[in-house]
Amino acid sequence: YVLFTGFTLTTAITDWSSMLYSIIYTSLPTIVVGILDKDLSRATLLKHPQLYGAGQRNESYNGKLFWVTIFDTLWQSIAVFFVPLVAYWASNVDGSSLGDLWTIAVVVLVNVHLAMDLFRWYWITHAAIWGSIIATFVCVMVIDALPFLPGYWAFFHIADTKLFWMCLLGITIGALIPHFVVKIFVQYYKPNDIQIAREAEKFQDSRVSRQVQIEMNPIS
Amino acid sequence: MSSGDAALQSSSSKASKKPTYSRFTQQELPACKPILTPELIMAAFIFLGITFIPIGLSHLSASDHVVELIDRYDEDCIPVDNSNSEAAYNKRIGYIQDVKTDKTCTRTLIVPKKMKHPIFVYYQLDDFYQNHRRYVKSRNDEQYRNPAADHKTAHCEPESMNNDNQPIVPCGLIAWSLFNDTYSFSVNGNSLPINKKGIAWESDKTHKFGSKVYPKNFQSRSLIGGAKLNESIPLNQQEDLLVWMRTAALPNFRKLYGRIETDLEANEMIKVVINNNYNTYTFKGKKKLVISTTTWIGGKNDFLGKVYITVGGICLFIAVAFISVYLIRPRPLGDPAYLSWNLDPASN
Repeated sequence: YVLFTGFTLTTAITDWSSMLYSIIYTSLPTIVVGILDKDLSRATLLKHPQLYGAGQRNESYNGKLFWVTIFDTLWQSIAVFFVPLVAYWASNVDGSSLGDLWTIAVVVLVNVHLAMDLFRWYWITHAAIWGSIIATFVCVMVIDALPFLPGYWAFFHIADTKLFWMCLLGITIGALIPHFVVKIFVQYYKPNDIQIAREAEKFQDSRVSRQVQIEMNPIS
Repeated sequence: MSSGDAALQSSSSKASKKPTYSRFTQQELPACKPILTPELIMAAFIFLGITFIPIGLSHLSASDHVVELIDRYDEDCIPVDNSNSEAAYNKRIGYIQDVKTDKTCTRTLIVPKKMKHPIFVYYQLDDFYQNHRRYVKSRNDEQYRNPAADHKTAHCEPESMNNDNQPIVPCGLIAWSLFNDTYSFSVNGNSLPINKKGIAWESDKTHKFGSKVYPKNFQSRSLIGGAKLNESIPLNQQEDLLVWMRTAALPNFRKLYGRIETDLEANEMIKVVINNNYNTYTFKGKKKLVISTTTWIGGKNDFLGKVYITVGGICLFIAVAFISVYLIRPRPLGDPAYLSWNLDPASN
């Protein structure tokens, strides 16, 4: 945005939103997923201990994956920033409204991205992800209901227009298409062991015991 | 014996330290474990393709239906040539800053297609950075709302006090630079009335600007930045001011001037008499008069329609590609033969 404000560092996103982004909008899903997500069940891992080799071989976090993620993120940023910019160029949109669109687009995008990569959906995960999106909407509405801030009522004004929602939908889908496409092709044609094991768990283990709901035996 | 006792005691104390089992701590909560099967992927892409393409097409058709007339008048409405020389530049500035010259200018516009009311009249400014950081900060919302808060002119420097140290209401650079070109329209000799009510946001009129706050000492310093305000009309009814105070997000922007409440037929000639008062010549900005109809997506803008069609097209293409590759080289899901240690037994 700095390129379009004559390099004067105006922020389109309100200061409050910038702060709340890390605190409310996106921290909770990350924490919940980090704690609770699980790719394989205990039974599968005990059956094929070689699956732990993936961690030892750095299959989920290595240099190549890092750069791929950087490029994916770059694309997503470009989509989130430029779609509203061009859609609203030379229109009568004001700074606060466009800032609200950017704020909401970013939060929806990162949460849907996370949702795409999750392995297991507990009710807590649902609550964290969809709850964060709803919390963001609520926070933006509250911030825009304070008359002493210059952006008063901007969200309600722009959310009334269909162009706003069309931008939001277009950004979310368009930004995530490259990630999704790469994911499906890699998952289908070059699956890693963990992916195969997950599929086996779901589709082939009808006779494998489902009594995983037992206590851990003490290691004696 | 004693060691046996000790072992017994330690094993029982070990047992008591074991944490209680709970499904949460053992990550055994009931969960949904979706996996992307080929059927699901194909269905998803086809669905996206067949919904996005029609949405994109309807966007484009709506944008096509918008009839828009744009007329750039800052170059022609000034009796100085448009060369980029220093002399011409200074002459333009001198002309526009001279309060004594009559700056009216008449332009003729031809309506290309029938326009249904309400027809919106905007003024468009290009290269005007209403989003400049110091400009955006230069306002005091408390002063605009509260009649007792006249003296609150924080952040408004230099437009906060006049030469007699009296506070300026409304203070700040945003209000000071209020656009002051005026337009009057006529068709075939009959004047076309412009509705200038209801152009500002309702929320601004009721909550942001006070109904008892009147302009005071406005434009009373040495440099005049724009329009003067009628001191007997309270701020919340000065709709041009309210529209201007909603600072634009981007350097090329339009602001609503008024509405034409009658239809305009194709090929009608509209005569516009413009008072070319506003100085955009110092920073080489552009001024344009825009007359436009609107549709459900707003003004004329093809971009989002093209984005939707592109995304929809890509989705269909991916769906086709995936289906064809799936038919050529299917992989059974979960087949243990594909596990890496099974594929390559020699490396075990």
